[in-house]
Amino acid sequence: VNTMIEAEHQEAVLTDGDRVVLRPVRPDDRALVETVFSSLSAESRRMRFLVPMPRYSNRLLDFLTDVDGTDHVAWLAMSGDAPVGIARYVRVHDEPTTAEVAVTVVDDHQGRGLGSLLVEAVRAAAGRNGFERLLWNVHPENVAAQGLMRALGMSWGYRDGTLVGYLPVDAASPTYAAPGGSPDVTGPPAPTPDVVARLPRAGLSAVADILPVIASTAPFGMLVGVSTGALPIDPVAALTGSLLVYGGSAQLAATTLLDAGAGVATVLLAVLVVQARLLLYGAALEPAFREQPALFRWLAPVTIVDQTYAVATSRGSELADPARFRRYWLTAGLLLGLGWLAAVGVGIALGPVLPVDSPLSIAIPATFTSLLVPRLVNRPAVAGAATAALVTALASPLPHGLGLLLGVAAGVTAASLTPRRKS
Amino acid sequence: MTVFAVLVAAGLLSWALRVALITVVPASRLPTRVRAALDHVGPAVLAALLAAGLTRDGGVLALASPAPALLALLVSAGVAWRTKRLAASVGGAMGAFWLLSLLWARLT
Repeated sequence: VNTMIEAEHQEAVLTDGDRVVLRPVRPDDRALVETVFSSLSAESRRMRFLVPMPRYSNRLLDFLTDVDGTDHVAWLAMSGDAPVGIARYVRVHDEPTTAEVAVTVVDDHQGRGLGSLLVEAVRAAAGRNGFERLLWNVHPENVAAQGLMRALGMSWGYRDGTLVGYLPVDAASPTYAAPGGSPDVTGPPAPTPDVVARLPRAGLSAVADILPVIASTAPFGMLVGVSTGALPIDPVAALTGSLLVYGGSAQLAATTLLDAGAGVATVLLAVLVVQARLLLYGAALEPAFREQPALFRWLAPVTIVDQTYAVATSRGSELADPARFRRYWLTAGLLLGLGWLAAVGVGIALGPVLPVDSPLSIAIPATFTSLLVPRLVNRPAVAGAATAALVTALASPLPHGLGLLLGVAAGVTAASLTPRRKS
Repeated sequence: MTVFAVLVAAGLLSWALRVALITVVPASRLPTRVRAALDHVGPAVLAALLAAGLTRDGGVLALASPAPALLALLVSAGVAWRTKRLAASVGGAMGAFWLLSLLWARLT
């Protein structure tokens, strides 16, 4: 074991002020390494190993702790007594001057700059051991890792469906933020021109992505049309309003509350809470909008909805070029907007002829159920949803839909107080 | 205020939410704790909307025929969990509700 590395021991500050200690992994750290990997969520494990990995074999743990200080170096981050992240490099068999990097940060510590600290530690070790470049295979959906690649100034491309990044070991990393700063880890790296040339046309990708989405949102659009058309409003105004709100669940919440006689303030507050997830989508899409013209930055976000957010982010780094993103976003947004308008229009026209006790009466709660269930993937989400439902039901005698707002506030609080895993 | 005016106001509000973290305050400048809390809004809002539609008077079920409706919602939850497709789970719930209502009317 290399004694120089053995002696290293660094304290660092994360972006939220928490302190961690970084030190090299030793062969006797097996228990700590196992703790890190066994505490990862299924999703984080898939991102780290590029395939679903339900559990860890002894052989894998043997390999992960088989460090020698030169061909295989790993650094561990400790928060108090708890191991919270590991980064390693392993010499690539047929490219002896290349070190393949892998990074793992436990779920509770993600998004706090720990990944960049660990990569920098490993990169420094690779430099001391004479390596010329780092290689990093990243899952195409791993947005955090892609942001880190960009922050580190990696050049990259796709190979067999995996994002492959390269970085000279001794290159300066101008955008890397020092500990305590705010590393830019939210967006994909900018592609090199030869990668862009090989990609399909952005407009065509958008059409291919959005057509099935239009089909799947049509029944919901019709339902929103039916519930809006039942209110005292003329069809043209109803369509204009639907296009302005451009959010099915928000409009459904608004029409349900208006129908129940709620006040304007309550309706708008309900729209605010239902649409609050648009803030999240905006936050996630912000890197793609950063280099766009001002007009695009102010107006193009009007087409942010669950579906456009989902399709655009699933394209990952393919849309990192600002002009490509612009074409993709405008095509997808315009097509989905037109499809949505048509569906709502059909709903408004059909509303008066539908029987009152039709199966459509179950469609609204079924829609909320269907949107909710796939989100119940961790303990905070389940605790938040259960609390919100219970408090809303108990508070239902309150006027103007106040019970709903109380329920949401209680749910968000409960979710924030619930740890992601059993402690 | 007319229904149209409420929808226009809701539209402006939605637009403000859409540009807020892109153009007004870029998301990368937000504190981590705020970003974490935003994560929890979605499930809480949807569960509250669901409960608001299903209950009244402090927890009484507000359904004309509770048994078929609740079973149909279970069907939609199952389909949503398996397929993650909105059209499939809402369609499934409507079909199940229609069938179960027929059965229920026979039984009672």
